[in-house]
Amino acid sequence: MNCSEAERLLNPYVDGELDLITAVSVEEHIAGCEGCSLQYQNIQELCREIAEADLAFSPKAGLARRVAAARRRAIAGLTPWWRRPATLAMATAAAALVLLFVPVRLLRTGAVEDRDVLDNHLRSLMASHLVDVPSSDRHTVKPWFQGRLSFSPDVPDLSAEGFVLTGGRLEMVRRAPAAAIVYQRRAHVINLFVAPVHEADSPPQAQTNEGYNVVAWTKGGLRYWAVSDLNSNELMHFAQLVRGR
Amino acid sequence: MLQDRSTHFDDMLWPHLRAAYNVARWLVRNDHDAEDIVQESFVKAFLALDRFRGGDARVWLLAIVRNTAMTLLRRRRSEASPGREEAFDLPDPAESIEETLIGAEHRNQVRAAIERLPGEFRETLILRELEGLSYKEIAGVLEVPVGTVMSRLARARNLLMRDLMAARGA
Repeated sequence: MNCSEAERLLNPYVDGELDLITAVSVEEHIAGCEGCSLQYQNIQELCREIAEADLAFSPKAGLARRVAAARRRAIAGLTPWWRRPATLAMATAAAALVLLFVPVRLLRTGAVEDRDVLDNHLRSLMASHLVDVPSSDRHTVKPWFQGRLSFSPDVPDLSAEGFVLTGGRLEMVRRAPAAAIVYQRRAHVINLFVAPVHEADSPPQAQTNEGYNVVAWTKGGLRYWAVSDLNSNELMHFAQLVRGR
Repeated sequence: MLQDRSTHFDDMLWPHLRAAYNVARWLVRNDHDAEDIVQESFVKAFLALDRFRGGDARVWLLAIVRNTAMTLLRRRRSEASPGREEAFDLPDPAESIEETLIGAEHRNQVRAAIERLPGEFRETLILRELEGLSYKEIAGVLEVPVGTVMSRLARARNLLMRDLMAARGA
């Protein structure tokens, strides 16, 4: 290896970019050549100085925020308007309204209040918002309603009869707050809605809406609606159990 | 898909924010432009993520940073403000006065000498010395052959040595 070859390879040698064979030849040349050896030491010394000079700048704290904001704008620009979160939420809400109200309104044959309870039932199944207070303990669910409602619905324990208490939540029936007590029988959810009324007591009456069974009755100034996709016989049995307590 | 893109972005590009800023900062030699370049580069990278064909995300990102910086410098030059690109920040002289240690003075000399390097040598040197990229990676960022990286790096170091010797009166 001559000096001009070695000089060309000195930098890659210092940077560890040479294969072993070439690196060894460079080393051999340096060992026997004062000029190249000096140049080699100079490069090493320079690299050491550069390393010590600390070339790194620290970006200001705001830079990351700035870049993140720019990225968000880029995402917004990329997303077609019909897929942006806001649009999606509105579309979902609109679709839910159409789903919940239009068919029920068009096809329903029952009373006005049944529309409320059926809507509530459907919504509770769709929105994964079945219960506000999840509990199988009636002593947890019943007190939960106190203070949230102007009346105190009874929360019977029917587990022995195969109706398992799941929890409770608040609903609106006839534009007034109502209790929704949730039971389950096998895979079927039963929403038991309870709201105060100024009506005389009446026995359970069954009807079918949209493939859902509704059993409604009045007792002690409270109106009850049991709504479920459970078959009408079992739902009536459930209604009688609740009414009997 | 957008979710994937965001996740990829976070995983692959975000860790190199500092490197991107440093390369931009050494190329344009001021903080304000460097921040603009970083922001623009990250958005470009984000939008082009599906064109990224694997490999080193840092090299890919730094190539975008470098091209963005070049575009800015070229625009500045054509805006006919002579010497504007040369109006870089020199180290604060107050620092040199207060720092009595020779080491500190040497460090400032090195930084100033690097800032005075012509752009093509400066960017090559910074990618090597600050970011620790291999010749092949640097070639990827600069889109030049590895041989060019090798000769530019040698030239950059020779220029630095000469500059430092002059500054130190050796």
